Amino acid sequence: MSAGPLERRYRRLLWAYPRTYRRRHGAEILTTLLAMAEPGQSRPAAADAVDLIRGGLRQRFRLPVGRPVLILAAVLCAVIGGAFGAAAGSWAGVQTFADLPDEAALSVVAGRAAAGGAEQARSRDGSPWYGESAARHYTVPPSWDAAAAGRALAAQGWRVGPISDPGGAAWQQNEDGTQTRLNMRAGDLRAERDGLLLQVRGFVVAEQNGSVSVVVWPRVTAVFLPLIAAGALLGLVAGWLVAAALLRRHAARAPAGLRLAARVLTGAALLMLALPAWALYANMVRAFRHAGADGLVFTVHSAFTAGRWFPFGPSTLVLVLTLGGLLTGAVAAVLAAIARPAPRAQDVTA
Amino acid sequence: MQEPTFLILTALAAQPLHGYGVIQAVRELSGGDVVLRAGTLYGALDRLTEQGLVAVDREEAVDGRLRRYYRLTDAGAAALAGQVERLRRHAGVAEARLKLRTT
Repeated sequence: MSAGPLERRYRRLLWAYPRTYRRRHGAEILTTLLAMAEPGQSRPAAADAVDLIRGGLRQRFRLPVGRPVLILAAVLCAVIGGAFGAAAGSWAGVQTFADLPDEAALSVVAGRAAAGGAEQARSRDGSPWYGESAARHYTVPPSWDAAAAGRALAAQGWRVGPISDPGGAAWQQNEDGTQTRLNMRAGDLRAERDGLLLQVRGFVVAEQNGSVSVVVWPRVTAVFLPLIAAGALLGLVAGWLVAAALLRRHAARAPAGLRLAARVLTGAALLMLALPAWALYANMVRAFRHAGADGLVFTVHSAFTAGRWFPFGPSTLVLVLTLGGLLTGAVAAVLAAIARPAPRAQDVTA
Repeated sequence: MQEPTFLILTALAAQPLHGYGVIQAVRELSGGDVVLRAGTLYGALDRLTEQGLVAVDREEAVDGRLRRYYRLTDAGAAALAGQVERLRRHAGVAEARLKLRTT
């Protein structure tokens, strides 16, 4: 029998169902749909189409009944998916931030703020908690003055905030064991230009040379947190769907050895990914809690940056566990795919 | 037990039916009120099979098309009988309460 337009359209709608389900029930559902069709009907009724799509989605989301441990695994998988989704959203959000100035541009800006001081150090880095920033450190003559630095920045088009006192005091150790408090001037100012935030902090003690540090980092854009939230949500759903798909395959008849290996590897993958997921969620909490503050930007995916997120293990622990977990999960998925039974003869028509 | 489930089990009570047969039987049983759609029907049949209330009876190929017949299992018959008893009790109670109604 050649497939008419109605049958072709029904077949296309059946793609809403998972493949394992379609193999088992596709042919008989199609028989029923065609038996219900009006003579001469060439396209599915809208209500039937909605019903099939809804039925297919339900099959994709549902888990085998009566296996609490599998539900636990699926929840864990969804939670892990949410963490990685949030990281992806965070990464995408950071792409909308202003780029940090290159070293030459930063030299111009920071050089003005440090008013002819001598550069001592430069750095450009992130941490497992927050995104990238660039910093310069200078030795400055005793004449350095925060207000003058602010005026120099304003002349370059920076919007300069009020100068505040970062606090602190300087003491001199005397030979007789007493201490003398030294006269110290300190100034702290913030400036903003083109989506970049700049902090200048200087200390000048008595008539000696002082030190000034200049740090620049991007300002958070309005889409940053929504992208994290959307990523987390999509990741949760995707994690659940992956779990449901794997469990459908595990539930199918297959050699016991393969099934066991796939289960053990899936369990190992979930355990490995649980730790990175924890770090990512903690970073997400920070990103939301510090929302609105214009300090360094807390990002979710920064957990992958080398550093000691956890007080144990190597500095690349989060990245290593993530890669290891994903690799193990992929092997488990391949085993599950091998373990899937061949379609039975009468279902081949589906 | 929801109404479509109840009607599907009822449709299968007397003899095994294939999918389209269940839809026709449910339409007749409900006096045309309930017309199951394929997605809903097979979702329910799948769930009922997993719960052991319904089982695949046999398969036939008619004009090259697969028809799978479903039958009520003993557990399904017991579940349906239990539901019938519950509905009868509820109907009786409702009737009695309506008679007590003062206007």
